Amino acid sequence: MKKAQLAVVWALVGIPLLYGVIQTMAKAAALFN
Amino acid sequence: MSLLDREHTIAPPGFNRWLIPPAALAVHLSIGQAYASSVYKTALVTHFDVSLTQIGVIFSIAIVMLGLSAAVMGTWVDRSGPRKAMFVSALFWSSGFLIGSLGIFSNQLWLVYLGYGFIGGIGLGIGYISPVSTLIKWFPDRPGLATGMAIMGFGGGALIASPVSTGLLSFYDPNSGVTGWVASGDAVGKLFLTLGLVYLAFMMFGAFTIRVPAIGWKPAGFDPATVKVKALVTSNHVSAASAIKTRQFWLVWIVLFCNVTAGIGILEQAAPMIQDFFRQPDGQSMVTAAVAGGFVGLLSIANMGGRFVWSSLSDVTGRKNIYMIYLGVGMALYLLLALVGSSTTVVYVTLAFIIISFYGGGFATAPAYLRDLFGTFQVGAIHGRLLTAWAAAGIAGPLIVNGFLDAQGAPGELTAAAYQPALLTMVGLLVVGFIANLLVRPVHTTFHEPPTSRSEDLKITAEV
Repeated sequence: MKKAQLAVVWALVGIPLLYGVIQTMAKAAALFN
Repeated sequence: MSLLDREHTIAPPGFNRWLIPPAALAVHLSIGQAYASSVYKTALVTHFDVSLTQIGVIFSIAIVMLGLSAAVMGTWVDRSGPRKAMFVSALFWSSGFLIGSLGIFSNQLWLVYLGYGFIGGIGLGIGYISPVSTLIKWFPDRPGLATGMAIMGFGGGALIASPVSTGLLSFYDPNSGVTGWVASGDAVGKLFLTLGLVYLAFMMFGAFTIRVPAIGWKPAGFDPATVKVKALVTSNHVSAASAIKTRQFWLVWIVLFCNVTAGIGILEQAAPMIQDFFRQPDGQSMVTAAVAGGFVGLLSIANMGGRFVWSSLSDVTGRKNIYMIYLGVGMALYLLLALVGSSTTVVYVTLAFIIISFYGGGFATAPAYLRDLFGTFQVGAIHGRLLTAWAAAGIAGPLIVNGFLDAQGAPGELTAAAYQPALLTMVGLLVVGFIANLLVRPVHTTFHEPPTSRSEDLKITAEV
């Protein structure tokens, strides 16, 4: 139960952050084209 | 309101301390939106029919209020505990958006100044410092890692808010497919409403997840004696009122000011700067606006990553040593940028990436440095007062860069050589910061809180 709570709480902040990083990296890829 | 009080947030035995960083991140990711305001800047200029400077004032008010509220409210944040502080921060930050949207819908710019700038800015300041002291207490063995994780969120918030805001503006504006489209005021108003409500919910999740450790708690296997033996790390405590009377506080203030001023100068000018560095004799730049936009995104990642990586590393190297790297290696990198930065884009991007990672690292390592020097007693309040260096640097950095560039020529015609005076001035600033850091010594015992009175204070704080 504690591990599940930990996973949910980290997912709530981790998924949006990962989305932001991926979107930014995709934009930054223009630098290396 | 008792649910918000510190006594209701004391963690039960067996509580997992790794639940605390995401709670802190929820707040910092939300308030980090402040760095994504460029997404709707042009739309607001068109909607209100005012200059870019008048719209820029919204962001300036917010940053000034961040510094002021962090300095003024720091002691209250430490006394009230993280949950109440995060709750209040969420109300201010969310209200800022809601009042701002009212200003946009009713075409009243002053309401946006009041809402997003003034009220939202107070939310920024309280939110920024609210989890710092708690994280340091939960992670006495890795304070740099803990504060780095949270403050990384302030850099990461813009990475999320920027694409989400762009998507929402397109969704709310039926003309979004038109060539040369600029979002309507109605779409920006709806965006503000949406962000206000989403951030309120997200920050409340943080507020109701956070806990403070019970008095006397320490991580399993952690021996406080191992921390005490490190140079510059005190086991005593200094109050916020006493801290600002010490030489150490002002030396660290200078260190942060110099590091941030140098970094902000590049960040603020990032997109035009890379284009200017690679301007051809015919006046055209080798770097297109789209590529320059990608470069700005890459710097955001450097800013965020540096906060986590360098601050975590400071747990191993020690705080003073890591600032030697930020400032000492930073000097060499700025010098290289000024002299050979225009040789290839790879060299330029690499140098700028490391420089901005040091800028982020400087922010994230500061709370742990304060904890080493002044103890944990009122480290949140001391950190709040230190953030006035950020506000000052936010004015000085762009002034220095823009002042030199204005003297060199018109925007769109500048070349790499035009940046040399500004970059060499930044090298000089980093020298000042380096010397200030060298002069940091342990705080004199006369500033230490008497053990008995401090225990009383802590007891009162815990029982309020």
